[in-house]
Amino acid sequence: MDSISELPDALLLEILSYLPTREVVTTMVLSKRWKYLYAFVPTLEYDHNSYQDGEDRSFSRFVYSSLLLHEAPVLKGLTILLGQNTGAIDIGVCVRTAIKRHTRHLDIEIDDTCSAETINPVILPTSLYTGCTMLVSLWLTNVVLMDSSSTVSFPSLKLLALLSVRCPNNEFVPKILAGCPVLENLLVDRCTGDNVNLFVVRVPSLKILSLQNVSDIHSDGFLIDAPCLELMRINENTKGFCGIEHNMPKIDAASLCVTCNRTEQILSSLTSLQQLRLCLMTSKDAYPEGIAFNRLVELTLCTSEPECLNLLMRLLKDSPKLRVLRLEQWIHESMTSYPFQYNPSHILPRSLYTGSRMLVYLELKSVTLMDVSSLPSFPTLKTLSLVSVKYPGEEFVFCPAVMRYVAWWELLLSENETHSFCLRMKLTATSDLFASQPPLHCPCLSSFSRPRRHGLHLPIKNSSLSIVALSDSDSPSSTAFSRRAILLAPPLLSAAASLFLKPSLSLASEENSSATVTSPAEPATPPPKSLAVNDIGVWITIAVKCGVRDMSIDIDLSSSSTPVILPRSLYTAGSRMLVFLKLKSVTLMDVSSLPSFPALKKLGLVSVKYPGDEFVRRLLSSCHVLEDLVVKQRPDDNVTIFTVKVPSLKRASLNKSSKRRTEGEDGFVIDAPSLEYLGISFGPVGSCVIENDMPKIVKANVVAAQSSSGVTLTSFTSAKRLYICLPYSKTHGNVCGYRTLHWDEPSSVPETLLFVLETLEWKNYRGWNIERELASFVLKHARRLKVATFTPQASTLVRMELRTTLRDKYRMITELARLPRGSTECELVFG
Amino acid sequence: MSKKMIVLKSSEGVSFVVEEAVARQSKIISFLVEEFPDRELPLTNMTSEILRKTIEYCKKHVVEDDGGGDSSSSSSGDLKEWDVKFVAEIDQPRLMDLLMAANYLDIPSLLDVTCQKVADTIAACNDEKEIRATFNIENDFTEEEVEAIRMENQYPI
Repeated sequence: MDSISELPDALLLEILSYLPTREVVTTMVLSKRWKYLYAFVPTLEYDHNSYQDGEDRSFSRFVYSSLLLHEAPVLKGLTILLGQNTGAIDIGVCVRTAIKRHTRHLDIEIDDTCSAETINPVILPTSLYTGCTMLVSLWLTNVVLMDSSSTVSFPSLKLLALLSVRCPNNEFVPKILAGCPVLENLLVDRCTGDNVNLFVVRVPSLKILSLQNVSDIHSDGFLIDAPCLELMRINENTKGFCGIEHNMPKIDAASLCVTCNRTEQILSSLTSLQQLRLCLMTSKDAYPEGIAFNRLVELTLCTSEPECLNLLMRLLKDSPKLRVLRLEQWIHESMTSYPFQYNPSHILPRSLYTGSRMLVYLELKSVTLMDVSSLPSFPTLKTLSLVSVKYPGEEFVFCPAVMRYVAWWELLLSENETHSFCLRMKLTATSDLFASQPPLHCPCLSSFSRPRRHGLHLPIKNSSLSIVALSDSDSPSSTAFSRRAILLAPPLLSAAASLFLKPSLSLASEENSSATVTSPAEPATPPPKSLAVNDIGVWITIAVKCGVRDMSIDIDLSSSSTPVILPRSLYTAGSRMLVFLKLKSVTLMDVSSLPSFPALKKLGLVSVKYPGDEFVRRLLSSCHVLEDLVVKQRPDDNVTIFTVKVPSLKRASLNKSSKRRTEGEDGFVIDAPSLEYLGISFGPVGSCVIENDMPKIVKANVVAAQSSSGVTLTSFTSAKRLYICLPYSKTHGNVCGYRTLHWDEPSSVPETLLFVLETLEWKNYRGWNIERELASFVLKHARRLKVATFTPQASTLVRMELRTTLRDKYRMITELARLPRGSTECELVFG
Repeated sequence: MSKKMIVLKSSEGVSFVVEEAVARQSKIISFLVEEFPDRELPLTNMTSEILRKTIEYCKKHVVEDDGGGDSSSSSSGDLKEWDVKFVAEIDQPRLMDLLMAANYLDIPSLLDVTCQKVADTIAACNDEKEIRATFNIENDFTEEEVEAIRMENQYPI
């Protein structure tokens, strides 16, 4: 057997109950299995639209015979949709059938708009009001209700919808509602000529109320007394009375579009609201003084007149928990012919920028923003939506009162964390900026904590402005990036993470229009480690993907000791465009693949923590065109021997912190034959090995503490200027010990000394044996020496010993003057 | 805190580990979990394939406790769309099985979408012949019998 016929009867009936009765009846000839099912389907649905015009008779015949032959003991639902001309159906018969079958849901709809010209009004019989004990929901559309002398009783009715229903008199609606003791939902669409003046809703059990009356400006309004109400939507276009009789302590959300003049009483009954949409014709005295909306979280305000903004200010003041704010211009019914007309009078007050400290969501529609002198402050704002907003001008964006967008960069989000990124755009003064732009997915406003110092200068082409949306799979090529004028500001300082980073990101597009974004150090509470790590990682990934040329990452470590670990993505293929890279106080991660910086020319590594010696060697060997290298090693950076093997290197400045206390070996190994400038200084311990001669070297500064055994002067043969500071004593108390040391004269005299050296500067000359011996050696052999300057150590001794120092000086001079000199024209200067 | 998981076992003996909140959309499972906590629940009349589909549906429809009011209202439309796609991708015999499963496990919303899908398929047919063809229903009436039924009921079909 086929699978559908295998289903049990109950399920087949369930399926058939989803079909209009006309379709259901067709199934009885399918097979013997289906022959009697149709008669037990628990719902009946008759729709005149399934019959052609002129088939009214067959429609009515079908309805009657189907009703008669139906055998389901309980009708779940009866739906009758009649055309205006279907006078042939006696609605009374249908209603009586419904009553007999204990119908739960009854829906009677006349297919017509509410109009006074209704020719054949469909009048509901009075029997409806008494017999429907099981009725749970009742929908009546475009029908006329008859007056009933007996009382109305719907003991089970939970939902009542009266849509364009005409009543016999003003008292009838209260009479019906009084007969519904458990009514929870009431939906009313009023129509002209419904014979109701003041619409009174007095239902103690009511939870949801929707009251619409858009067409009759002269009706009397409404009066609501429903203390259990949770949701309310009122759209009442009337100049009449609007009132709420009792407070609604359970009210959760309300949408009020009312044109009546006095609203104090309504709003003061709704102080428990969490969500409010408010469209008022007049905002004067909208609610009395002293009322607070202590639970209000979400507010939508339709501005229809400039004074509405005073109301906004009051609501902002009186709603301490407000998080979401939407502002839009109310297009009133009478203005529908000009739906997009812009009213320039809807100017947002300046106080909005400062008075919204708790907002997380701000949506502005068809409003004008004012220029402000003070800084806008939305410290918690996450989402900003600006639709058809008029800005004070282009300067608005670049002046301190910057509207900054933080786009949700979905691709870079880790699973559970939300990162925000700043996208600052130069906004044009047109109001339809967003119409022509790809929508920002979740535009967010970042913190304005110190925007003045977030200097941002990027020339953007006026013609094109677009937002580059990076997707995780295909990163935009560098050309695509340069075609679009985009700038990225660092993602830090978003409301969630007031990082202590001190980043400065430089972006350069292909036109070499470079932008520098610097942010101040924000010594705030140290964020959790992972946040900082992820933030910087995401930021670097963006920069790398955008083909950034210059990058400088500078972490202010003074405020926290949390290490900032740079992501591996920095080293890999993405960094092909990087020319300048400066890292300060960050931690580098080991990578299995080779780092690759094919275009890098300048590299600065200041207080960087490395995975190890080997990593440094690999990192530097991957920089094939590196010319400048600055290294400042911190005390605990996991590297002892810092190996610089870069053939292309021209300038190097290498420095080891004097606080380093490394047991065993510590020093530099340099193999850079192209080097022109070399500056080396290292602390109390350390060595320096220069593996190859540097024929191009012009200037070398070597400052070393004791035991700098590896510094061989032979490597500096071509140096024009040489500055060597050899061991100095750490403590004056040990001076005597050094005096007795002897400097062993090298067996061969360096060429430099013989033929090149012209200037000799010796600072802190103390006249010790070892120094005198070296000086004597240099003076003897330097044949080209023109000036030899010796500066004695500045006296740090106490005043009592000053005389001896002077005497020492004199002794030094005479000693030096007596030394034999290799150069005949050498001038001896004693400073 | 990790979420409580429960184990459902299909007719083939395949075990499915499901978050309790997901499985509790079935009123039957909800009842069984309370009666027999920490026990594997055997669903012997359900194949692994159908059980997997059912769980897929329940996972999509599970109501997150921390879901904000804004997000749920925006996603209700998406959810409907997802439902339509979900049932559209299932072939007819499996749709019937899924309908049975929804009925057996008492998952009203799944029963609703599956019934609606079958009803829509019936409604899309022009006459009873097309319905028979679509659902592969064997016509065990003779011509005369059909004629008799029509005469008897006098429906202006």
